Amino acid sequence: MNDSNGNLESFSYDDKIVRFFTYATLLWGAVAMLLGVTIAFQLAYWKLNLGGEWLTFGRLRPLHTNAAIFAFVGNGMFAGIYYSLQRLCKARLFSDALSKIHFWGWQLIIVAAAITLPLGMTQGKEYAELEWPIDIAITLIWVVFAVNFFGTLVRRRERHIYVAIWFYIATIITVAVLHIVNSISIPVDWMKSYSVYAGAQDALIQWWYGHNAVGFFLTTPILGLMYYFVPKAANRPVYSYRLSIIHFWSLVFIYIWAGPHHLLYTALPEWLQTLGMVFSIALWAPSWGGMINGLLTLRGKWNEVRTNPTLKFLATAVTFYGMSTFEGPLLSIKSINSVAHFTDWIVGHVHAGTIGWNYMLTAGMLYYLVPKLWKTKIYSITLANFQFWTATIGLVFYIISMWIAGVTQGMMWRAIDPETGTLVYPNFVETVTQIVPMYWVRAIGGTLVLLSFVVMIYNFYKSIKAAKKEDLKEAVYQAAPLTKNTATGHRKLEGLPMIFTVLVLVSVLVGTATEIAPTFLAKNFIPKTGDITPYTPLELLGRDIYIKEGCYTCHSQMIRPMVSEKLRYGKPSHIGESVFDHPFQWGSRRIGPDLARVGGKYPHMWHYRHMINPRHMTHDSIMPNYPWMTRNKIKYEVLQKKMKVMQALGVPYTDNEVENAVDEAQGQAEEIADVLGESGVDEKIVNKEIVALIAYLQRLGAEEIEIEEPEEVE
Amino acid sequence: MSENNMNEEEKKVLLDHDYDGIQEFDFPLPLWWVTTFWLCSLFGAGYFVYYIVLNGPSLKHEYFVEENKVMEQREAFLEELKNFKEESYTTYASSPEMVKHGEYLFRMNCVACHEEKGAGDIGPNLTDEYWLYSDGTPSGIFPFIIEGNPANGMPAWGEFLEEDDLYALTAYIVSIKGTEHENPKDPQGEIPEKE
Ligand code: HEC
Ligand code: HEC
Repeated sequence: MNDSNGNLESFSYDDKIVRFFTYATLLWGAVAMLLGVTIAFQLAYWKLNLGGEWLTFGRLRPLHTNAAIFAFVGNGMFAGIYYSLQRLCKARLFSDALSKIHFWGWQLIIVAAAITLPLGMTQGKEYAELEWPIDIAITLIWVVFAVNFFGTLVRRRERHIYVAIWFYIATIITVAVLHIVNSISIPVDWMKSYSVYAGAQDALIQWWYGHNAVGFFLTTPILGLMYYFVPKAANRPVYSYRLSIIHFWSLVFIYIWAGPHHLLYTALPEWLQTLGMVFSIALWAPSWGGMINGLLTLRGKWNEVRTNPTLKFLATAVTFYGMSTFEGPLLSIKSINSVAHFTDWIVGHVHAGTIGWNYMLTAGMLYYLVPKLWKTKIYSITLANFQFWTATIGLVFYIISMWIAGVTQGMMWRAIDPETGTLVYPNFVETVTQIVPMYWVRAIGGTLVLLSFVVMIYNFYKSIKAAKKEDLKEAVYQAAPLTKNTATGHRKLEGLPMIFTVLVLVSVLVGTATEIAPTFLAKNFIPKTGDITPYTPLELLGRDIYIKEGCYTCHSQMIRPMVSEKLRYGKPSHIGESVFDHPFQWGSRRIGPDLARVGGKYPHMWHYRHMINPRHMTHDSIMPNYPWMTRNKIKYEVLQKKMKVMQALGVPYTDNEVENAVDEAQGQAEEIADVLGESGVDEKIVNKEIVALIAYLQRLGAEEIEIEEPEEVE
Repeated sequence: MSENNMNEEEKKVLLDHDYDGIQEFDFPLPLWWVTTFWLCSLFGAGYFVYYIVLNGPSLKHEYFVEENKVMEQREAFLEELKNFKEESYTTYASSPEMVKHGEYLFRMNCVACHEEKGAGDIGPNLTDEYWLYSDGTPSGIFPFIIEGNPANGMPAWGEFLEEDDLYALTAYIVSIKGTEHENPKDPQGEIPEKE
């Protein structure tokens, strides 16, 4: 076939799959936000944990984050990518069958998450909680997506790939790498596994993953969508092609290095922390390159932004993107981080991104897509405006309340009386009661955002209902087949998507390898000094209860080298102290106090009462009740298997210890039960979960490694 | 997309790209943006070189400098706090309001382990004649509350409570001596010898 002679090929677009993903986006968006509002109210009013096992904050928070990121934003991005990709390639999606597998597979994964997380089946790694069979399913479906995507690229009729597609490529490649590397674990049974990484190494890999999930799941695909929908909706050319090239490559290259900014002041080696910080600062301009290209594309169209809901949402999204990508580098500066880390400031920052950028952009995209996909008109512009303002006001409530809460609590934690050298607010719970009013404001803000989303669903429901079914036949388009790639420079590369993809892969692997390889190679990266003995069998079981309940969503186990922390929690944590922690439990938010050295701080009986109802021991606590721990039996059946897996991961249990694990654990349980018995607890408690948990809590920090005092200090 | 609504400057930088109707300008990179990029990158490089390559002061270093200072101060403060002042105590003990305040503090901080009115639970009964440490006199109780015995689960309260609160608590504990309870904890310690 020869196109110069005007031979045209006919093709159509698969918009049905886009409609499917649109429905899913609306459904899961509402679910994710409802979950968010639920846990927000749980923090404001602890009784909303409802006393049931499945609906406590610790179990629902992971479900909320997974639903928001992978279900809501995920489905939205698949809808947008599949719609725009076909048009940018002038080609139908590679395979209708793969599209369907992709769709239904992804929804099944989400349903699996919604079932397993409340049941407490979790790997205990933030944003990567799902257990190993689901992880494998994610990998497979992602491969289906990739094949469908690259297959379409191969069959394209447009010589050069547009900048939106560059960002899609970066997404597919990097998310695959992140997910696979971070999720490697050894199964104990169908719904339990242990991460192959431990301690500081796990922390580094987890936050390399976590940070870049933000980068390559919540940012690059959405930037790609911005590059398609903003110029389309505004009917204006993109502002600067040159800027697209520069900011794309710098973003992709720099983003991947910034993960350790989640671990500033921790026991992670300082050179890695510093790398994380400086690359975060360098990331500011590349991020803003996208914002500039988005906003300046709207030049001359600002009057329309006021009236056109699509443009209004898109412009606001890009503005919030600019705000969060400025705040991010700011929060990576060590001194600012020392106040903000572990507080709600970070939570506010994340939501400026997820609500301000992801929700707003998705809404803008859908206001563009729904009329096109269903050949209909938006039912009500007034409702769209109402939605916009409710969402914006809700978000502003959210961000401001979390700023206030974060800065207030951060300052209270560190306040030391200059005259006495003692903490000004030694009672942790004082710093909680102080910010509970802000939790109410945040919950109300979140409710407004949820309300706005429901309004959008209603608006679309009415719009789609008014559409005529027979209009949904696929139109046939014509275009010439692919021409020769005669361009030079970057333009030539844009004609070679596979080479382009390899270059993207190389870009993200440079930072990855530089930061992660030393943790495998350097022998003394994690000093196995022999100072720390592995958990006893009972402590190990207790630790799994801690993970199951999601205690890490409220408690950290990482004392930073700061005097206020030493006064409050004890000596700074040493990198060697978590060598046997598969996975690490350093945590990211201190809704409750750090627990790294809670062992021995209280008698067994204190924990017993505290777990049944924390308010028995601490008046104003907002921690949920865990009464079922006095009823649920310890699962000794899997103990030996667990220890064998740990053995395989390099934890020095002897075969003998594995052999006698159950006896050993039951012996320790009896000792604890005896002590509880002295205070009148029934002896039947001996085989209940709470005993194992107490064993674990009492062990935390019981063995200390001193951090070395640098020589210069006298 | 029509060129009609473009100005001259824009027409000049319009590229011949067309993707599903999307065109691209090729405006030069904004100078402020390029400058920001360079400054941030240079700052980052300089920072890394100073702190890591050239071994500038580490976080640990800063920590120990401050720690040495604060810990000394704190020790001196707690040492001083432990000195039992007879007059301060007498003022509190003779004022019913202050004893009431002590009761309030006891309810907020101590009943979790010592039970209502000090009947004893996780911690010992504070109303009987038997004492582990403090010989039951104000001058013995007061410093013990400040130091506690964290190893056995009695927190050190010196840091949590103000000096007058500690006196008020002492006065309250003395005031409940000898009260009767339905379910008192078994005695711990010994009956102190009278001088
Ligand atoms: C909703 C957040 C939240 C969750 C989830 C949570 N906690 Fe807490 N926790 C708190 C708060 C707030 C405090 C401080 C007030 C208090 O003592 O109860 C606290 C205190 C504690 C303390 C006392 C620490 C000290 O030094 O005084 C322990 C121990 C503890 N929690 C263990 C757990 C365990 C184990 C789990 C999981 C089963 C858990 N927590 C889940 C919020 C939470
Ligand atoms: C976490 C539990 C706990 C709390 C809270 C607690 N105590 Fe105690 N207390 C104990 C324990 C345990 C002992 C016994 C220590 C030992 O055996 O070494 C004790 C001992 C004492 C004694 C000494 C009794 C004796 O026989 O000599 C006094 C006095 C005392 N506590 C006062 C207080 C006061 C006042 C408060 C509140 C400000 C308080 N305690 C809060 C657990 C607690």
